[in-house]
Amino acid sequence: MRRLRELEEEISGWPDISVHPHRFGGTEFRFGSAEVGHVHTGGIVDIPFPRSLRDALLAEGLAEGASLGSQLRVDYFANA
Amino acid sequence: MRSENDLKHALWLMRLSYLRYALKTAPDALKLFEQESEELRLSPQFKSLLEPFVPKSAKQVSAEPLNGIERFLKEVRMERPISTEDLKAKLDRKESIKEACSLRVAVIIFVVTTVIFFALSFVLFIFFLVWLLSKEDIGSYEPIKGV
Repeated sequence: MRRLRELEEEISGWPDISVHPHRFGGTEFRFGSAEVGHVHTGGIVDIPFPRSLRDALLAEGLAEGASLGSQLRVDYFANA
Repeated sequence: MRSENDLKHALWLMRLSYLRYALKTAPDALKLFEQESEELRLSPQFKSLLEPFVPKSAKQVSAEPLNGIERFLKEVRMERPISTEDLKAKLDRKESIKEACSLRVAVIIFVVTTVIFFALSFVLFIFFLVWLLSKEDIGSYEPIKGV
């Protein structure tokens, strides 16, 4: 939990970032109205990426992927 | 999270996502892109994938070396130089837009006036009918007395 807090504190300090509760639990970070990513209380980090970036991240083994509806996400497993 | 490295990696991914939006609004997007690429240690592949998020105007400004006068004009006007033909075409286009607007206004005024005219006529007609029906002698028959 400590690391999750550190993560939230770090990201919320970036310019133009606002912090909101996520609809399925956790914390969502937005740039204006656009979602930068969200962190679930369980420790999973969901980050929406365009297909090209997502594919590159998956190919490089930098993230584990999942597709939720039309939005592509990279799930980074971070067990608290 | 399992380790400090996990936290750093999650932050790296978040920063990558953040960068896409930050580049769109940054006053000096190209500089930000270079700085962040260094900080995040992006590989050429990731740099090329993120490059489309740098606004085109930022790329053009940095690509053109400007002399003093050009830089001054650019800072003051914040517009690209325009040729006489382009300016004429631009002005012509504005004129046609003005004409279209004035025609639209005229049509709207005509329609509104017509509607008001018919509405008033209808109201007056109703008043006339009410006045006419309120007359006592309408409907009653009294034979005319012979003189």
